[in-house]
Formats: sequence, C-alpha cells, structure tokens
Amino acid sequence: MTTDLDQLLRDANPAPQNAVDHLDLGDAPDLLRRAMVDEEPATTPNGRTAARQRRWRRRGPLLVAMAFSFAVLGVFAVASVDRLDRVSPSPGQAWAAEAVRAAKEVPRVLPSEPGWTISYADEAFDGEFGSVQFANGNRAVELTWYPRKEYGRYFKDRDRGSETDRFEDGSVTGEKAVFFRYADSDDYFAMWKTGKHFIEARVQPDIPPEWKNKPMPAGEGMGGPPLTSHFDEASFRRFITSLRAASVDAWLSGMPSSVIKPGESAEAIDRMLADVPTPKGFDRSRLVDESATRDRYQLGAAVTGSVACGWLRQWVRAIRAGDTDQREEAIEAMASARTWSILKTMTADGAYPQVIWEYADQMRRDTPASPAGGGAVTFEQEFESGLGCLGSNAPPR
Amino acid sequence: MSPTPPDRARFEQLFDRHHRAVLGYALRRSGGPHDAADVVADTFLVAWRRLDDVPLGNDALPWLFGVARRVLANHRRSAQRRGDLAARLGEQLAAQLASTPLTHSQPHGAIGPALAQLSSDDREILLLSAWEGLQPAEIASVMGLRGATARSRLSRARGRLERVLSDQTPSAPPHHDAIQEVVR
Repeated sequence: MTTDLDQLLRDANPAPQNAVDHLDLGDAPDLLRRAMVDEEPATTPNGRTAARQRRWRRRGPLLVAMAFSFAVLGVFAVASVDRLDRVSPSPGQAWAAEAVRAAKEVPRVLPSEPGWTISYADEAFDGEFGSVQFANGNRAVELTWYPRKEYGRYFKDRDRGSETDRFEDGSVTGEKAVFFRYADSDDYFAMWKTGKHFIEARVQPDIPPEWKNKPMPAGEGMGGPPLTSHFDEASFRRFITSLRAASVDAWLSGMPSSVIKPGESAEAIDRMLADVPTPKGFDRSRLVDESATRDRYQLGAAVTGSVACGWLRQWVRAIRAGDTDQREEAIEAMASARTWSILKTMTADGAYPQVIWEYADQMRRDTPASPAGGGAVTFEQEFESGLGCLGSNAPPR
Repeated sequence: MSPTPPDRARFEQLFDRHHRAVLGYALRRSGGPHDAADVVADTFLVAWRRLDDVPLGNDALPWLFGVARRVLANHRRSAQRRGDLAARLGEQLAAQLASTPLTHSQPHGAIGPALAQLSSDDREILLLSAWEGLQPAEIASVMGLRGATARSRLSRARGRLERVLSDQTPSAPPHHDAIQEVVR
C-alpha cells in the first residue's frame, strides 16, 4: 500500500482510538462490568443456566465454533479432492459456457509433480484476482494471481531485506520466477509474471487436525500450535518449477468436486434443497444471486443456514404469538434436518451439520423467553449470529 | 454454580484493559453511541460466558474484535437495545460526543465511495489494518483466517482499493457520515 493510501484510510477514521481513550465515560463502564459478572448465575432467556451453557460448551465446543466460523466468517473446509494425475478430460466434455469463459480469463497452471491435487479454490474464476490451493499429504501451496501491472509494487513490498531471504531465481512456464523465504522459517514464496497476471505462490502451514475447525483460529504467533510447511528450499523449488500451463479443459477437470463452477450455482442449490422443507417466504433465487460462495461445503452451509434461520425465526415468532401450529411446523421441519442429504454429505468435511442439528434439538427441548430482557445475549441473537442469519435470504424476523 | 474468583478477576482485568478499544472499534463501524455501547456490552458478555476460550495476553484483543464484528453484524439486523446499563453507557457517550466530537477534520479524497465498492471482507481487512493497526496475524485471528491467507488478502484488498481509486474521477470529499455508512 502506498503511503498516500495509508494516509487516506487513516484520515477517513471517524473515531481515532486516542480520542476514544480520552472520552469521559463516567461510571458507566464500571457499572456495566459489575453487572455482567453479577449476572452470571442467572437463568438465560432460553432457559439454560450459564453453568449449563458452559457444560454444553465443553461437550461440544466445536458446535459454537463451527456456527461462528463457517456461517459467519466463511472459514473453508478442505474438501475431498480429485487427483489431478487421474484427470483425463473426456473428449467433447461440455462445460457451462460461463465456466469456459471465466477459465479463459485466469492464469491456469497445474503441478506436473505426482500426488498434487487442487484442494480449494477461492474466486478461481475471477479474471483479476483469485487463488487456488494445491495439496499433497501434509503439504499445501496457495497460488494467488493479481493484475500484471501490480507486480512491481508487490515485489517491492515483498522484498524486505532482513525479513525475507531471496534465493536463486528459477523458471515457471518460461517466465523468470523469484524465490523468497521469510527469515528463520520454512515459510517460502515465489513470484512470477504470466500473461495479464502475476502469480504469487505461498506455502501453507500444516494445521494439526486437533486445531482444524477451532473457534476463531489463532493466527501465526497468536497462541496457536507451532506451524510448519514441511517444505525446504529444494522441495519448494521443485514444486514451483513443476507447474505447467493447463488447458481450459484440464483446469476445469482439475477443480475438486467441492467447487461450484460459474453457471452451476442455481442447479447446485436446487439439488441441495431437494429434500429440505423451506419456510414460507423463503426465496432461493436471492441465494443464487447473492452467493459468492463457490466451495460446495460453504454453499451448503449458506443454504441450510438460511433455511434454518427461517424456521428458527418462525419458531420464535410463533412462541411469542402463542401460535401452536406455526411452532410445531417449525420444530417438525428442523427435526427433519437429520435426514437432509446435503447435511449428511457435509459431515465428512466439517461440523456445520452438527450446529444445525443442535439447534433442531434445542427447539424440541427449550422455549425462548422474551428477548426484551436486559443484559443477556438472547437465544434469538445467539442463533442469528451463530448461523449467520444476517445477509441470509431467510424470511425476515 | 457461581463463577470462581479467578474467573471474575480475569474478566475484570480483560474488561478494564480492552473496553475502550472495543468501544473504539464499535464507534468506527456503528451508527452512533448507543449502538456502540450495545456492541461493547454484548461483546464482553460473550467474553464472560466464553472466558475459557479467550486467549491470554495480547491475543485477547483480536479475539474480542472478532466477537465484536459478529455482534455488530447481528445488531444491525436486530436493532435491539441491551439493558439499562448499556443504555447508560450510550447516554454518557452521546453526551460526550455532543460536546467533544472525536474528529474535527473531514475525511478527504475518494476513499469513502472507493471503500463502498469493495466487498465487506476486503473493507474490513483494510480497516483492521489502517484503523485498528493490526498486523496480518492479528487480522487472521479477527477474521478467522490463517496468517498467510490474511497477508495475501490484505495485499489483494489494497490492490483492489487502489484500482477503484484510480478508476474514479476526482469528486467532492465524502461527508463524514458517508464513511460510516460505508463501513456498516
């Protein structure tokens, strides 16, 4: 970022922290803090005591975690992958026109070293910026592409003297590639130009299984586990120089089944909803239009989360209004979530289905109190936040 | 079951150390003092209830920002107010802000409309860096990303913002409110 841009952003800050630090807040913060601590033993609006909430949390920390991290933050799951070396594009295979058009606009490279697969793709069909991740066992490399004209500025940003060590240049698809390593680490990256873009390839840390899907995962150096890339200079160089230009067909064929390609979203959503009861007013077309998700797991979370939001809202409304029919309909619909095909297939990749099922169980067990009570995070807020109902296409509250 | 004294002490320390930073975060993104007060109340209530999950030391603040981010998103939809005490904090804040505005200078240039053209994630990554002064590893913690991913996304967001800015013709400086509208 240029200094000018930094300054522009800083100037746009409506509440600089040093000004906030000097505000006279009187005794309000003290009262607030004391009230929170004193409130702990109280029964929460949905009938659970705080202590019980803690036990539940210990039993299933993943559940809250997944609700937050998947639905709200959009943390991805590494989905099942197709082996690139098994891919043999079928002659005349028909791809959606949108997919072909989009694939033509991005830099398409695939590793020729055996054993590597595309494990994840993010905006992989974005002509300007996008990324794919290749994985092989416990090693992974993410390739991100940018407009070529940005290369000089990015290079300057990356070439940081004592922070990065530059080692011998190499060649990728006929272009010179520059290799770097962050000082005293096994964190490698490389940059090279290709066509209208330049690519930056970075090794990815191996996250121990017990840390995957953790709530608000710590970043490097933030109290998380020690991270290693399992690369050394030679193996990183070998991987990078093994990259070869790929045809549109090979590129599209190499995408894991978890990636929803352009033009496939509407059909994919329809398939996901085939055995899912939707609440009145549920508008699946908005989900199609608004969804930027192209990973099947994420799309599944967005779709089922929206449905669940709708049923939960109906349930809360019905309880307030004393409408038994509406309440029972919502409970019954959510109870059927155990059999939703999309959730069953998602269980292999993460715990989001458990989040939905936990809410369904809770609907059977509990009744929410009025959220008007002061001081407590209400159950309604809990699921609105936990399921990421904001921005979903569930019927409004 | 009552909370243990060490729990209380730790929470009180957490609150005292970070409530101003969370308040600042909320003020920079919310519609006004009452909303910001609500966000502070909800964020620390979540922290109190999930005290076991709150990281120790300097890692706690990015964790709190992560919670505040979600609380804020939820709050925008629910438009609900917290209890009396949050309202009291809101009143105190409103009174203070009426007499002592936080900034005197108007934001200038095309940054407001340019930010509005970015995705909410790109925008938040840029603001966490520029306004909260967070490093990529800390941004990763707030956003639920890995450090390397946060670094590359920050670069990408910067690139996008610069591109948007370069595409814009010079225009009148956006009003202060426009900036806040953008970050909502």
